[in-house]
Amino acid sequence: MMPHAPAIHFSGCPWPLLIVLAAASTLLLRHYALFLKRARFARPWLPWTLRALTLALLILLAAGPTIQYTARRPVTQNAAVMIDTSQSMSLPDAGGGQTRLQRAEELLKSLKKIPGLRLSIFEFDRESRRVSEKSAFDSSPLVGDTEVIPSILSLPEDRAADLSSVILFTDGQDRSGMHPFAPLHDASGHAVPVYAVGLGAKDEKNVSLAPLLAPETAYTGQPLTVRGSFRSKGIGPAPVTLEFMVDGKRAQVKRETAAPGGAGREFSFTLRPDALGLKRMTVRVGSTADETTKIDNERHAFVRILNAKKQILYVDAPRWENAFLHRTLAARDDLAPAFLTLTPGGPLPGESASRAALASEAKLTQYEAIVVGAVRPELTSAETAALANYARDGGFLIVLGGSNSLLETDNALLRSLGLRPERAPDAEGAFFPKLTAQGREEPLLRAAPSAERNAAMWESLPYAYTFSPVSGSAAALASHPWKTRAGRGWPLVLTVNAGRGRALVFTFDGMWRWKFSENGAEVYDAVWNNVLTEALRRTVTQRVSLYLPKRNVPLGEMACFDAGGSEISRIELRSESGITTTLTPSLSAGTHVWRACTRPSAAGLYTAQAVAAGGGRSAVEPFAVEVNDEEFLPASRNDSFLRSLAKITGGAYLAEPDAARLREAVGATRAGHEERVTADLWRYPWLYAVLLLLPFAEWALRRRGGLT
Amino acid sequence: MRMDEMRPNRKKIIATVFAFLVIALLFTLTPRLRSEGEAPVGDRFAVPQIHYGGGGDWYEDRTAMKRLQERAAKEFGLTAYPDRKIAKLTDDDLFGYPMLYMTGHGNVVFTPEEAARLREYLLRGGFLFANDDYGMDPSFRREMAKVFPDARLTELPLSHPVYHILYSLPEGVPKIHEHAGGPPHAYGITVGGRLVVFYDYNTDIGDGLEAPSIHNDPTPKREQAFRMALNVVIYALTR
Repeated sequence: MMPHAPAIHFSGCPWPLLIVLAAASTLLLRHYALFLKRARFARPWLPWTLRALTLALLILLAAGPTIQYTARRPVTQNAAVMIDTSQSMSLPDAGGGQTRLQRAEELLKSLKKIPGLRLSIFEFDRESRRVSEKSAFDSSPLVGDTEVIPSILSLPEDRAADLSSVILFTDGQDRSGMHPFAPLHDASGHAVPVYAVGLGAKDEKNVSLAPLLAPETAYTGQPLTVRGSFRSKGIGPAPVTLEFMVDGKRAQVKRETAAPGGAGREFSFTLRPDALGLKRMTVRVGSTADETTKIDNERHAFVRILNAKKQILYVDAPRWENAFLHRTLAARDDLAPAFLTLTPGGPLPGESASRAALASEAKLTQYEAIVVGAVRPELTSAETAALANYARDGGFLIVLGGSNSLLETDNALLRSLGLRPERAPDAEGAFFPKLTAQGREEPLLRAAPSAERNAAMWESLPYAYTFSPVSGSAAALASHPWKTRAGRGWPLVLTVNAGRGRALVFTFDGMWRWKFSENGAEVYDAVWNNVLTEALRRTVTQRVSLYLPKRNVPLGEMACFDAGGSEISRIELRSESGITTTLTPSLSAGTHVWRACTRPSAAGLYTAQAVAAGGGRSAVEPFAVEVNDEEFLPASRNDSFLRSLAKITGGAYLAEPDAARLREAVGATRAGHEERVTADLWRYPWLYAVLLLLPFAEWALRRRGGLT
Repeated sequence: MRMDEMRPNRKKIIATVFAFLVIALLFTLTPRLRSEGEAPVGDRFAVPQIHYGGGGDWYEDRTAMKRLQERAAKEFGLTAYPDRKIAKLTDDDLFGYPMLYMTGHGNVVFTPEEAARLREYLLRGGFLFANDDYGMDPSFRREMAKVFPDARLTELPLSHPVYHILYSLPEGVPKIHEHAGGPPHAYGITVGGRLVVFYDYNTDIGDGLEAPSIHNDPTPKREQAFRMALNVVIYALTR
């Protein structure tokens, strides 16, 4: 503080009292001088002077002195630097290169060179957060929306009071809707000046898709409509292409013209799904090549396609059994069969089930029953394991033998069911199955109400020619006339309880002969009707299940994953680019649900996989992380908003090309201002120190001179 | 004529009649004996060729089915019956073979019993692959009308699964042998949504299935014939 033309005023005791005090002090000092003289003190003027100064100071203080001077305030200012870390600041704008946020970092460096400017760094999207400079620009990814005024208002109150200015680095795409700016002024109408630096280009081009609207579930054969809307800015009336895809495969394409003024244009796509399961519906909007960002050009919706009919999967090789069972399943009104025919060269094209479903426990559980025919050589070990697990998880697995299916002694599917393929000396020759004692009681094999009639019908079946000898502890319901070494007939029909499920194994080839013959068709129809009825009343549940409360997660929000059915060791998130993030779930209290949450780091498609402890079993579900379409449309710099903000608060607005003048704009107050300062002398602690020091010095002198 | 002179003549007559009877008996029994002497088919893949009446050369394409069985077995993982199987529509074991083949040059005649058997066979799940070896068309259409008075042979559209189920044949049935000009055709009879008769006309698919040395068809032609025939076979095996 530099005093300038100081003046002193008194506002303490009345003058008469001061005169009395001065007179008393004079008498006291005269008396003291005589005392010193009588005591022959060596240098009597020294203690006398000290006492006189003490008394003078006391009288001065009693007069209530006030000093006035003119001072120029220093340039040290407290400025809040607010850096926009919303999603739109990730845009590089036309020409590529640095993003808006990176350019803000460069501008901040120049701001730091202004002497006397004390900067506090805040990042903001929907609100302000005090951060270090480093972390402000490490805000990767940028996830929030821009809400400028709520962010200014959310500055900490203790700091806001000391602020001389707010320096704002933003593109100004405010989405708070808080206009006009009244909340920025305090009760006295004062507002902290805002120096706004507008980042981004003035004229941007962008087309933006809003999140899609689609039902969570739909039914095969029924119309399913996916709705959405798009808006465009800066690309004129040129039509855009809307591409609709199901599981990544193009299904429909439309050309639409954008509504003027950035208004939304609605669209819809309708399809009749024919495949079951969770389907990803994607709409992609195409536009000009120089669009500012394409991050908001694609949206996803997930729809689970169900069928009111019961699901059954029939996998077989091309053979006569396939043809006859195919017709039997297709003829039932209560069934929606999916067919998959495997040849040594691969699956038959155009089948209603995909090969990928075979190795996926999650996909297999959508079927109430699975019939596996003579495809043993074509099944992979993963497919065999998935089928075996399907049965253990409560599914009904029906295995149909064939001359090229069960004979292999390394048949893992049979082994997983507790059966052991055997080699018989000669497994070929005409025979017909004979019901065992248990088979005669078995409802599945009952073709007639009475046991006698049923047995007679079985005995009139046409011959079969090929069977696959197997052994094991499973119950045989029908057997071959040839005996094993143990004296029992080789089993031809077996029932196996596997885990929570059940398997029915026909070890012979040629049930089709029953259907094709006059005598056997009734037994064929009855047996398959019994088997399918039994299969359809069962419920299959996945050993590991995974539930996503939200499949479309806005970027920046938490995505949570609930897994159950087993102890879950980890949940792995895999992005489209192959980046894997592993989460460790925790068991929710009082439940059997293992939960993990995370904030995904980037927009895009992901898969979440819950893996059971010990590995092996898992469940996979897809989800999408999407940006806010509002954040990118418009994507240009909002000059008018920022100019108004600066003007109303007494600050200044600088568009990015003029940002070099920021230093001057903020530094304009550097010289400070002159002001008349009035300071009460009582408030200076040094005065009290002098007041104590003077009598102490006097006392010390007197002691030294031999006085008390 | 004296009696002693007549006896040798009577003996000759009796011997001649007896010999005639023996020959007739052998002639009658030979096919049955031959059939009984065949190896059992069992679960091996076979497409029997129909031995029909009317004199229309039912026995043509002698190597076609054997070769088709071998190729189908290789591509589909089946075990092939190693020979041509011949069947009459009245055979007891007809219902042991869900697919039949017939071809010919001329007249086809089904007896009422055969027509009824073929109808029952097809309605119960069987399939007939008919190949016009040139000259069979009028009689085949006439006889099929006996089998299915209520259904007609209609040209199969290019979108029919039989052209796409395994091999893609976007132009439909291929032209294999140029007996006469004109485009090839394929007709079918569909019952309950299932194709039960496939009939190729003006192309002679069976010709292309034969051993290369028989008709000297070029390899691409024979491959086209096999692809068409394999599509028919796999349709029958899976639908």
